[in-house]
Amino acid sequence: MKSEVKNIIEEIINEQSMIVGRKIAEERAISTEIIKFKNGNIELKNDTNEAIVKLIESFREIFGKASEEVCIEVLKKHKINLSTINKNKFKKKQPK
Amino acid sequence: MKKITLPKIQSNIDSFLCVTFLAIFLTWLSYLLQIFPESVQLGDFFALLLIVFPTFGFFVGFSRSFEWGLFHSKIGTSVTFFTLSLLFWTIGQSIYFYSFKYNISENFYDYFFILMDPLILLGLLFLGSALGTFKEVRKNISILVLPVLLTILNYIIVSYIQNKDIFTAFLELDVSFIYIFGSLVTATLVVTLILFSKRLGGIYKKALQLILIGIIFQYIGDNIYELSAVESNGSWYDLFFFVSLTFISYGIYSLNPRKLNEKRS
Repeated sequence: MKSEVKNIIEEIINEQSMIVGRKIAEERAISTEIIKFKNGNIELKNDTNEAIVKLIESFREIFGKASEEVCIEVLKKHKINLSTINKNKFKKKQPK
Repeated sequence: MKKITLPKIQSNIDSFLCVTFLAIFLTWLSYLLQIFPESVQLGDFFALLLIVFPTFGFFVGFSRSFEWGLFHSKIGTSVTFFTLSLLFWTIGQSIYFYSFKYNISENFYDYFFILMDPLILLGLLFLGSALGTFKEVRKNISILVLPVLLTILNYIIVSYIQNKDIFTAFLELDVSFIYIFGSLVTATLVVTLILFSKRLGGIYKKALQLILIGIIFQYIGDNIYELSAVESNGSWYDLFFFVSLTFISYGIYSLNPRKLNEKRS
């Protein structure tokens, strides 16, 4: 079963593909160094919110906030707030 | 002993193109201000530049269209339409140059110049859609006042220059009205895109802004062309078209997807 993170990432990539084209969207995803493509399927090194945040940051480099808002629309569909991801869920684990 | 190292002068294609543009622009301006004695050859040379620059833009744009996924993506579609508009300009200008030089009265070039506007318009529509501009417009219906204001402004200028009242100016602009109407629609879209592009950022911001400014220059050039009684190569309207086409071509050239990878590395 697909995880929600994977679902969201797939949707973001699909939405961005409609804007910048499949090739560039996939290249942006790969540049996060968390997302990989194997036979057209997405593989995640790290199935956490970090992947979503890095993906959004990667797309933001293209057209700034205009690109970010496309990703935010996808998150809204899943009833997720980007600021909540940033503040609470995307925290580096402190070494004990 | 301390070694003194001089900073290396970075010469790349970007600065070369900018310097070339500036040099041509200043020479052209000097020619129009009659600092240089009026010469037909120089006028012809400037008119030829109006073929050379958009041809460069067309070839680069053709490659960019593929890089952005052609009609499979909104940016790809937008770049394709802008590129096609440059192709139509090149064909139109080549026919115009030939007709003007050899006194051929048939004006086939008009068809190509007129077709440029719908192509630019389509390019802008896809660009606006890609940047989410129209979602913002829906929230601000007041933007619809813009075409009305631009139309009024256009006719005030026409009637002022031709010494006619605004209604006579409107009635007398028959075929040329297509040019002005086409430019009005595109100008409205450009202003809308600029107004709602506050959210626009990223590494392609400047490239897109250049394209938009280029289209505004096209609008100014169209108006000067319609208002000027004399047709000659290398005149004021041609200078505006030169700036416009260079900006659009350079904007398309700067939409290089490889920039994203360079930034990352």
